[in-house]
Amino acid sequence: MTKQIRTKKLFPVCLLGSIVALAACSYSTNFVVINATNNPIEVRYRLKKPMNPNAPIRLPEVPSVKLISELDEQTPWRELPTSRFTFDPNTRMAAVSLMPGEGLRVEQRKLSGGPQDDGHQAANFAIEEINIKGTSGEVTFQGEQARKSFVPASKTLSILTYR
Amino acid sequence: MKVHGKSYSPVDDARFKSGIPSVLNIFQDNNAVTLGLYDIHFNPAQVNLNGGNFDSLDTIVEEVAHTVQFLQLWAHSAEPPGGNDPGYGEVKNRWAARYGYYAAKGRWQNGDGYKNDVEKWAKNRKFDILSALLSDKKLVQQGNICGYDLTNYSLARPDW
Repeated sequence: MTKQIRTKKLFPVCLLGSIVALAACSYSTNFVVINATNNPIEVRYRLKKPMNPNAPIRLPEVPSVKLISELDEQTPWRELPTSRFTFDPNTRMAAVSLMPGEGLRVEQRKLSGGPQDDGHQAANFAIEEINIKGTSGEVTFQGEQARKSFVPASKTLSILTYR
Repeated sequence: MKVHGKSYSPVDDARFKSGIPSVLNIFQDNNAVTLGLYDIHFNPAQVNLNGGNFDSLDTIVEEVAHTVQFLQLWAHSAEPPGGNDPGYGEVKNRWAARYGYYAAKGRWQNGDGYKNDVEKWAKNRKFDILSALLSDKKLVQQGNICGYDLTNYSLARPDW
């Protein structure tokens, strides 16, 4: 009887697993800074030097935000207007003002396809410094700390929360 | 590519559809899922078809590589063997079943269903295509191709 119930319970899980496994897919990890305070904060992040010295230095994409409640949804990220961010190519530093309850995507990377060791994961991250300033004070993460300050919430989301 | 006497292009004939059915996103939020040549579902929160970061371009090229695999399967599918074209819908079913087989094999061999031979081929093909792009000095100096960023990227062959 117990075995029958267990089988009945396991069957939908196995079926679901089969459905999910029947699709060729790809996924990325978003690195998101979250403002969990009640006031605006300033997020500053410095890009690493470009891999190719001849490449222009610029932000790979316009900084974009979502409400924290939307992070798990398939709603597009909202690109910020130029009034809310700056980028200095000389210092490779971006500065963004982040409203309460917003998440800022600073990086989007495929971490699953290649080697998983720490060295490769570090190379697969384009930011070398993050500084956050708000009513709770100022925090700075440099070098490897910058990457490791993001806590994996799932395969596709790593977050750095400012409280 | 010739499939049962008709020509298909894995690039021009591929159809991207905005939104991924939630059942396919249960274990992870995918960037895109290829169910067939005309059924590539993408997550608009992760992938931009009109330009943006390198990751979007990476995903598009990888999914198009899957459509090549889909067309190869279609070309070798016949009903009964050696007979007629079984049709797109039937090949979609076979594609899913075939992927399921390789996912199970990948789980058995590598401990992760995603680390399978279908993904490996597509990722290697993507690597070849994007490496060729990135070896073009003019493009790299320009820093983008068709609106996709080429200054900030990572590219590696699968490690399985």
